[in-house]
Amino acid sequence: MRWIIMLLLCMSINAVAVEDVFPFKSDAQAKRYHQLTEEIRCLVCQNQSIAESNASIAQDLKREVYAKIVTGVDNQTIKNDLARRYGDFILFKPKFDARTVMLWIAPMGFLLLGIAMVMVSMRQKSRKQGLQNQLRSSEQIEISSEK
Amino acid sequence: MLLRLLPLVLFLTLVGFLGWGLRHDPHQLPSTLIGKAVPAFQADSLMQPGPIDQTVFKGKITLLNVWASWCTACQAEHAFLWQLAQSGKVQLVGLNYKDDALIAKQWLLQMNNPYQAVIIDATGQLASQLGVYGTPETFLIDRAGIIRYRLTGPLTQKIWQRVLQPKIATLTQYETKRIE
Repeated sequence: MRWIIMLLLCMSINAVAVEDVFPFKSDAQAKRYHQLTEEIRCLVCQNQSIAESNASIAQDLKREVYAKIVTGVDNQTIKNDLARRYGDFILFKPKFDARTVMLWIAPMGFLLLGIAMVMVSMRQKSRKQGLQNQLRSSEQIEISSEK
Repeated sequence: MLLRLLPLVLFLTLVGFLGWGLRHDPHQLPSTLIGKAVPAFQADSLMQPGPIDQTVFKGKITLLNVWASWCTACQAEHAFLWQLAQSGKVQLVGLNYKDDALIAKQWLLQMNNPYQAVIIDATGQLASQLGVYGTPETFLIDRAGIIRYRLTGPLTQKIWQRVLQPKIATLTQYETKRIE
């Protein structure tokens, strides 16, 4: 009996910091809320999402997201409305459009370019090696023929 | 031979962009509302009886200053705002953001009130529509009620001279041209 109580006491130490906890009617809505609040940037603590941040604006935006989810607004509309007022920077995943195409493509592009350059230089080296080998073997033949 | 220099060139380009990025202040986000009208709203006025709405911006060039009695940076810019209000160069309208109206009123009565009018935004709803994410913030609004610029952080003499004054001059120029 005692160890059950001890176990329960230990588990209560995992209590989360004080924060608004919103009631949801369905698990699906709760999931959407958690997902969405992790994709929205806190503009004050800019490396944190509003889910993580303690800033006042993060609390306000969480409340707004909650209210919109509960009244049936879909994710894209919520994100668009936030981006309309605060700018694209508020979304952690930048939109894919003409301005951000370099941002999305550059990392993979650099990697592929690097691999290509390594391959080219390896091929050049092996060609060089091949020529040197041919020269050496033809020299050998000359030397042995001179003997 | 030139192909050998490619990694260096790419690296230097990358360094160039990173260096340029370092000079950016990530907290100065450009407002998405530049060129758009202030959204219609209805609110209480802090210092005068009666309601206040977006027509307060019509007819004069205005600086809409988002402030609160609990915001220490707002107190820092207050002296300059008072100077500006007295110079009459621009109309100042305040947006009292998530504040206690009584405390805010007392604060203004004690400290000199630079504002022509003060909008009470106790919940921060209106500010949220304007994309406000910190205090203080100042919006430059033209005679037609269109937002022309948004400054995040305290308004100083330097920023006024370097940024706002020239913008106001362009606005006035444009308006005089239209009348001609």
